[in-house]
Amino acid sequence: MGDVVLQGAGLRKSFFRAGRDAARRFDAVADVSVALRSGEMCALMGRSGSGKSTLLNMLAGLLTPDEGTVSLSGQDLYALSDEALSRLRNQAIGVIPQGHTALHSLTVFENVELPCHMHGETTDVHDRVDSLLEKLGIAELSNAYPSELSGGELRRVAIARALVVEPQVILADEPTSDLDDENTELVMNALRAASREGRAVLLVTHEQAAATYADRVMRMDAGRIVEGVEA
Amino acid sequence: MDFKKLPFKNIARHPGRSALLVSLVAVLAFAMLAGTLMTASLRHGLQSLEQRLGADVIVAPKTAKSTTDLEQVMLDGVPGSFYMDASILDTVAQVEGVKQVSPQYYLATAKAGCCSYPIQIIGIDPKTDFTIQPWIARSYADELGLNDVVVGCDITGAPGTTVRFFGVECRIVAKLDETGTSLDGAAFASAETIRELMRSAVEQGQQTMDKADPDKVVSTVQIKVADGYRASDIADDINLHVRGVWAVPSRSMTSGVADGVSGASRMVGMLVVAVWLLAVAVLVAAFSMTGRQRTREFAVLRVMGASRRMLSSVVITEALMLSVVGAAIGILVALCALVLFNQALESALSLPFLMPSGGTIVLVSVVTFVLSSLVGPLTSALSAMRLSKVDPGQSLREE
Repeated sequence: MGDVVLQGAGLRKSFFRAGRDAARRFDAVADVSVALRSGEMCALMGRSGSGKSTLLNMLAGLLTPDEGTVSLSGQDLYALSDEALSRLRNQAIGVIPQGHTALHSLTVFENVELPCHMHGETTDVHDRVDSLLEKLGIAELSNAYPSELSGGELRRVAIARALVVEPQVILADEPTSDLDDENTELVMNALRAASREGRAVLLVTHEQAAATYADRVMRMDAGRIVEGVEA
Repeated sequence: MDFKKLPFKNIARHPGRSALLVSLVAVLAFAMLAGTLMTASLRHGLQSLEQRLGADVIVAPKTAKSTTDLEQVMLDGVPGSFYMDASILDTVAQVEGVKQVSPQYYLATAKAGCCSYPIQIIGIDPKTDFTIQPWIARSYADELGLNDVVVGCDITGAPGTTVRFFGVECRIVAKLDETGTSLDGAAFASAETIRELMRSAVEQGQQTMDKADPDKVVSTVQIKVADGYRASDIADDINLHVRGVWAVPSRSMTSGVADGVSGASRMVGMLVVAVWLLAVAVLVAAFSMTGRQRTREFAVLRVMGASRRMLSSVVITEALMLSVVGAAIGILVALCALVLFNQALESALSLPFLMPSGGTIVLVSVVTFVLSSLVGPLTSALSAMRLSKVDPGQSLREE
């Protein structure tokens, strides 16, 4: 394992159920600290509503914590301007959100290449996208639109899109939910390969089978990590 | 793919949504331009009519019976003939406060070589006329000779050609600019010419002239009031002291038309405001709804690394492109409709209707284009601002 790349310290996030009174407030994530190392594939498991996705979103710089800090290679994400945080997320953090998240106006190829052009990068993009689509077995769908794809194929598009910028960290939220065994294996192998290439991978899942690919398994319950925190 | 191409892709891949938004903006632009130009045309028409009437007071024979007869001839262009003794001209000129007088002669044709419908021929005395002559001078600088006629823009026949009235061959020497009034369908001649036409009409049995001598009658006397006098006082004075005539201030004659113009303008204005409010409300709702429907799409773009500014630029560029196309279509349709249905509108409204100058039309079109093109982007900017305040993680979580 390499150095700590992404670190969350004392993270807390509360939400309100319908109504604004304090009694309806609940802590989705309560005082959680977590560290991810380069080359490490870490699984975060727990029941639905245990706070896994909320934690992942905070680590990705997508959800401002009520308390605590998130730092990427020593840089405090939430101290950055929106412009700087967006650029950093684009270049260093690959996020695979839950569900189907391909942009329906773009082809598979355009979906995957888009992050490379957001902040001006243009070198080798075409080759990189071709190679990723090949690796993930969706090269022949390059010119297809998302509406023509199956759930497994869409998930692979999301993974290719997260990997294309060669980020330091990959954060995947339930990447294998609703997938058959064959697709699950394909997706997990791709994430595993990314970690072997030196990326820190956090995999949020509630599927035991998926967790078997991880180097370390953390468990969350009621907003807290109850098992697997790095000593 | 360049990120800047994303708005184009979004528009092309959602033809239904794009067409709806373009149509809404087109309706907005159409309503604004058509409404504004209609109102301007009505006001311009009224202005033109008042200028053409020219006189402060018009004196007509009592046989014209009521204002209706006179107004029908003067304002509505209904061909009509009525006469009074020419000596009235001198009598009226003696009335205190009368600065200038000039006679006019009316002769209605049943059917002329030039037209398939009756037209009004108006005779003027070029030496004293101060109402029609300045207007004719813009198209024809020379003096009207015997059997020369100047025709309104609605009369067929080009300058240089001839037209036959009551068997008399008349030469068209000029065609007048459009006024948007009934005078566009009239022909103008000198007193000398119209007297000859009157004689010929009597000979052919098409006019009786009330058995009067064409050389000794006039149809109306146009009066210019001296400074310091009121047209209504002069009219009252004439009505009281001159027998057999009926004097009316021209402003009171056009007041009915002015009321009509004002009412029609108000109605069109209200309609335009209503259509605008409705279209803006629908546009705001449509763009906001589109924004809400695209919450997840925007969150995904943020996940990929799009900043709030980039997201806003995508949304605003899309709205701007759709709005520009919609505004252009709306303006084009409105201009075509006004050009094609100009005459029909004039007839339907029964009011003077004269399109404003080309410069005004261009100016109103440009203002309409800018305003219509801005509604979509402004609405979208608000929607984008609202969306950008929500953490993308929160948007993804809520889906």
